[in-house]
Amino acid sequence: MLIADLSPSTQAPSNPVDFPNPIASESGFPFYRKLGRTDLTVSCLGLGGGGAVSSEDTLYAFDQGINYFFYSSDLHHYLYRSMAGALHQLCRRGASRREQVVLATVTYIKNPEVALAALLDQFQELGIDYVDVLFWGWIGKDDASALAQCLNLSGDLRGPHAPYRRVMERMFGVSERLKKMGAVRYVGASFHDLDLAQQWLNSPLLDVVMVRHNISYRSAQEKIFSQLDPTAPDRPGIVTFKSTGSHTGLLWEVPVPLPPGCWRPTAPDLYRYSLTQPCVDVCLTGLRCREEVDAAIKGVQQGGFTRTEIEYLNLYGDLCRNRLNPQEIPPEKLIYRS
Amino acid sequence: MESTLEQIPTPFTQPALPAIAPATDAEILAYLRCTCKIADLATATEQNSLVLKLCEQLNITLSDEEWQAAGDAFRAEHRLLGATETLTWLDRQRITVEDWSQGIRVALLTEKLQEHLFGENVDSHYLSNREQYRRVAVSQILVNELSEALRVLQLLRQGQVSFCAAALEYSKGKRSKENGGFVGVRFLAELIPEIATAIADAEVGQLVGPISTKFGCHIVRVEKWFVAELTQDVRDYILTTLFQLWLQNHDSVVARGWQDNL
Repeated sequence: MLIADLSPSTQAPSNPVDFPNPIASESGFPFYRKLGRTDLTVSCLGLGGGGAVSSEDTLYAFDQGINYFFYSSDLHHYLYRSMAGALHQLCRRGASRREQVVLATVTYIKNPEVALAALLDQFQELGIDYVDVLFWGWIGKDDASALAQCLNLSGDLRGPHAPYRRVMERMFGVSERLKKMGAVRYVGASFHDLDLAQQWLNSPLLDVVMVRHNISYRSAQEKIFSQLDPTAPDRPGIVTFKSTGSHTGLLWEVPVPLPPGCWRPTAPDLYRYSLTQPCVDVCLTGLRCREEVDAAIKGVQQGGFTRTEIEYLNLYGDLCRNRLNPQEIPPEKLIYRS
Repeated sequence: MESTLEQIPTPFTQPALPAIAPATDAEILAYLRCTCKIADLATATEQNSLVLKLCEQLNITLSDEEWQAAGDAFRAEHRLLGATETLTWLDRQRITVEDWSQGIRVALLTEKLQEHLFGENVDSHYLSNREQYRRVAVSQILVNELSEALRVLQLLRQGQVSFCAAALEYSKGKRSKENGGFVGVRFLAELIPEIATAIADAEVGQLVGPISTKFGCHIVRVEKWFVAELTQDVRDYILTTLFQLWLQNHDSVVARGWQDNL
């Protein structure tokens, strides 16, 4: 063997992130942002299949700049499946635009032993070779133990060196992307219990935290958003859901006892409300058609709300939940818009 | 006067050490035999021979580039970046470049053989036995009698003595006595099965026991749990374990063959 002088090792630079097609932002509100500590660049609006959006309109949303898509392979699959064709087209093996898309999938079966089966369903149905974020879905107050077990799997699920990558490789064959990304790039959890979310907020096993947040249910602001430093490079990614809904129905449709001419927020306003909160990277929507896609993008292009507007929307949210007597609202807090 | 002088102790003078020639291979072998250290080394030597023969049979080969890269990696790991310091180091080890190169070659061929034989099985073995690859930091107090274990346990539960102090005072286990009870970080699979079973669901800080094994009665405390993860180190550990088990089976088959022929 040759014994020559060796040079000290140098670290190879990490691969640059692929950015999606840029979309013009008409204000200081960035349409694209980094999803917490992940390497993912995401649009601030995400599109889930809960509104049974068609594949055509899903592709339209992508063409308009939305790159974060959320897909369920089990719960509500009958709604989600209508967007499956588009996700297959964008994310299937060999798809030219795959790395411009951030594909988030969810399983609501909170059992680590089912992770492989859930991934198999998703890989098979969408023809994909990796998912960007795998969410454990619907984490309620009684799910502490199940969640701990699921998240303990993160190290074996995530990344190119994880055994799940090799298992998927054996089942679906080798692909360069699967080898490079791993079967799952990041792990997330969708919380219905904010106390549990708070407990896991700084765990290295959880990359993306999804929480319910809207003008009527604002607890996430105190329990989650304010617990994080928006500029910290190691904070988890934050996604909000149910921005437009409450137990009384869709927030913009709730009859609220306000004087005529008072501002009644639209769905895009409600997305903007979530996105105005610090640390919120993505507001997940259930947009149903391309007209709603256009309206949502147009809405967020107006940027964040002012403090006055936020205070008004908080009042509006309290009225939706009957937590406020309309007579108690000071007239100067009302905002009138045609 | 003369007798007085004779009674004064003469100052101690160290005898000059005789010059010793470097030990020959035959002398080293003789030393290993007479110090009862030869059996393990003989087994390791036979394993090396077996590996080389198996590689030949299975057509597992090594390219010059792989060999050189493994040698360079060894040197980088041992901070032997310069040629001169590497040669000095080899000299200190009393081995030639050829000896060292051969060692690198056998190590690399062993890795390749392990991968060839068990590489495909590691993931499924791990995923089926994932719980066994949880690591745990444990402390223990080992005593001979159950009555003594119960007495120590009572002292601990009543807070009359710390775990560390009790281990230092009562433990018969060499390591646990020396280290105030702390045994180290272990895979569950590495622990004595009775202990692994008893602590599998224990929480951090919980006292478990007494647990009776062939070594005595154990009082165990879980210090920390680590999440199972198939890192490269864990993968190497599993590969080596599967390989060693296989070799042991091979040895017993060979031994049976010898017995049959006698």
